[in-house]
Amino acid sequence: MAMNAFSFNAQASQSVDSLWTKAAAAYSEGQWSEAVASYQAILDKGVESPKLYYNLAGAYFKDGWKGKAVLNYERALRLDPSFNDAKYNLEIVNAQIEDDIAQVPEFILKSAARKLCYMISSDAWAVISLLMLALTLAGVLMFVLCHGSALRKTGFFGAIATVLLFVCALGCSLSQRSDALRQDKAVIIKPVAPAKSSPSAESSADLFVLHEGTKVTIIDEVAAWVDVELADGRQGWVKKDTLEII
Amino acid sequence: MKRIILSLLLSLSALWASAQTVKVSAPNLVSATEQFRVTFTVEGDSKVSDFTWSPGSDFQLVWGPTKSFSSNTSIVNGKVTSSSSSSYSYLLLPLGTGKFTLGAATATFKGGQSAQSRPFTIEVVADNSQASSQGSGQQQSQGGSSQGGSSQGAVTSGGKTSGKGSDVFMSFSLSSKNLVVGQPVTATIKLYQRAEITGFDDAKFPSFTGFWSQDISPQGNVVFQRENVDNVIYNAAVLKQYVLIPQQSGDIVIEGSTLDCIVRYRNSSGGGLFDDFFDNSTSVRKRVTTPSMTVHVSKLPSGAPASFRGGVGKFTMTAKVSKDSLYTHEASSIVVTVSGSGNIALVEPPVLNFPSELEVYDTKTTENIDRARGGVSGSKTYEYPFIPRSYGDFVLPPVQYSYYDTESGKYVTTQSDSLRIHVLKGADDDAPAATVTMPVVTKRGVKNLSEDIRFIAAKPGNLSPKGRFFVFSAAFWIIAAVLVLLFAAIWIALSSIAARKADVVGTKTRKATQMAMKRLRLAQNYLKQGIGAAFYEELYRAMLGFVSDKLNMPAADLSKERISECLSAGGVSEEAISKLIDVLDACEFARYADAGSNEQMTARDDKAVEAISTIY
Repeated sequence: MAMNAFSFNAQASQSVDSLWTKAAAAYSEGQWSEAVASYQAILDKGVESPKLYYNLAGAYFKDGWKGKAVLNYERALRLDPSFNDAKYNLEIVNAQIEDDIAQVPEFILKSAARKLCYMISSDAWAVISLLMLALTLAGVLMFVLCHGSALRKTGFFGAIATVLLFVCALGCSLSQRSDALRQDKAVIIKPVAPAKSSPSAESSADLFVLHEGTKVTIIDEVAAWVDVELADGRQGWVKKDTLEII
Repeated sequence: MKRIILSLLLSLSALWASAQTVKVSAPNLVSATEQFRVTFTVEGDSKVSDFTWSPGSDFQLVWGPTKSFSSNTSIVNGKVTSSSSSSYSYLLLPLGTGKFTLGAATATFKGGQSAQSRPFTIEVVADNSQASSQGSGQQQSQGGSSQGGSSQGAVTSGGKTSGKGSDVFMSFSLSSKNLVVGQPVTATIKLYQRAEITGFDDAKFPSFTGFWSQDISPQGNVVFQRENVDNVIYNAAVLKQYVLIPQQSGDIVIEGSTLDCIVRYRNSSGGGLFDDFFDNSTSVRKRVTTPSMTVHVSKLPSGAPASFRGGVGKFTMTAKVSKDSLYTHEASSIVVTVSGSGNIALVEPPVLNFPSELEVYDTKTTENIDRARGGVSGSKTYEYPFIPRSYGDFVLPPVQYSYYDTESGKYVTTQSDSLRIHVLKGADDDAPAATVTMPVVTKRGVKNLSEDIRFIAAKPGNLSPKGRFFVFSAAFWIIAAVLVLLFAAIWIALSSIAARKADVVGTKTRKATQMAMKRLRLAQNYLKQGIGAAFYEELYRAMLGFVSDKLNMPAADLSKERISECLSAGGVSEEAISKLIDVLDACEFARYADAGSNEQMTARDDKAVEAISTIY
């Protein structure tokens, strides 16, 4: 039984490898849609990695799907916020996005904290927090058990410092986790998505029109409609099938 | 010597003879009842001694030949040139209709040389208008080949004026009526007349909206030439000629043209004596028009190659490097020549992909378009000057040039070989050894040629199941719990160690057995060696030291009574105490008396071990 499970596993990973090489070859030859299909097949196996999303986004962009490209770069960055290639490419794709939405300026400390938080992934922060926990406990031990005044002092202040770091790291990790689990960020994938004042097609006015590749925040959801907020604070209802959650 | 001069003269005279020509002038088209003149003009330096020509069987000689002679001598800067020409005129009458060839005439000069004229073709038609008036019976159906159009498939629209016959009319002809965008076509406006035209007025020609047009009308005066239109001889002249290149698709209407002609008619009613002396002709203003014409222009088919640059027709392309081996910072150029027929005037230069190491300058275009052939054929030369800024071998990809072939109706791509440029390191690149000055390098920023996303990652990285987070996962909690437990365990362990370290008496007591056993082992060593005294000495010290450590009393204060008292107070059994006292007694005894047998010593050792282990 265990043998069977193992061989099945090996087969699955083999298939992922062959799909990956197939996709890379298709991409190099400029057959973008084939590359997209192969990367998508890897995703359908239920696995993900920042590089997988990054490559899929590249293939989508070359194939002319700007919205899907933005979506997958955002996904790659969700998994690995310090992915520099993905950041660079997302900037290039964003330069070709039609909608130019003025960002509401964020409080500088808040944006700095966010930047710091997203420098490394949630898992890395979790590992750091565990490390800090271990150091804190070691510091406490040092303070309690050592006799020398210098050692006790070191232990005391070390423990205070590391407990603060522990709290920060855990906070960053949890905030990233909650950001990801909230699933409130989405990207418009249809070329045109009119935003209405209420979730119905007939009895509502068109507020504004969004275009492919624009990132929005989901606030509410009613049947086939979602209430989205733009980066500049405007809100409107768009059809659910015009966007995809990151 | 004389002979040489003679032969030289002869050869010179032969040269002169070659300059002597016989020219024919005759109408190309005559009516069957018309007398016409054929004139042979002999030009040359020497005099004609003999001239022979016969009109042949197709023509009847009415009169001739009429000779005339003229000579011309001119002195320019002391150089005398003289020429003479003799002309022989014949008046002929055709005997039938059709196309006939006049035979060649032969002129013999003084000195023996001769020259021949070229045969000349004359078309004879039974001119209908004249036939009706003169009643000639020589009417045949042949000889009606129209010369109106310039090529096959041509379309002519003519407008004949009403009034006295159709003696003046104008035609507009187009070499083709079904075109594609960019296909050049020649438009010709011709005037036909049989009357005497004394002037033109109010000429209005089409503006050719929707076409790129170029006027290629013949320069100078309007030259009339005889032409046969439906067996009627007209004097025809090309008034205007254009090259038209349609710029848009659809049905394009070319509006008609109008021209007012002033025609003079001789009044033939009178015929009186004085009529010849007075002007009895009347001038009539006649307006001739051509109807408008609709041209169907279809779009170029889709699927044009990337290298299509608007050429429609048939072209060839050559590309070469003007200088393919050069030094850095030395100028060279790539010359691309596109030649052929079609809308050559409107084609755009092909796009060349230069390596970034070459600095490319503006393209220079030279046109060489043949106006005589309707402005639709010729060549265009594009010169792409460049200066290599780096050395090495550079290969330019083959130059591609696509055009729409109107004959086959599809796009054709021609391709040159790939162009190779060999660039050597220029002399000014190396810092000359003789001079110490450093070459001045102008700093420039690295220019971005284009922007693209970065290439895909080569490795998939570690693939993980979707939506998994380490923080607050089971593994996270387990590790955290393990850390806390480890902390607790270490704390407990280390604090108990510290407590024991702090308790000196306890340590001594705990170490008592250890010390005693150590000494007992030493004693056993002595026993094995058979040193009795040492054995008992060590055994005694082991026992006493053990009790001293256990009771935390100095050895000097210990007496047997005190030992038993304290031990029993400590809860040690009487049996163990008596064993201990026995061993101590035996030791004391043995120290001052006989050591006893080996068996005894062993028994006592065992007893001591027993006692210590019991008390412990």
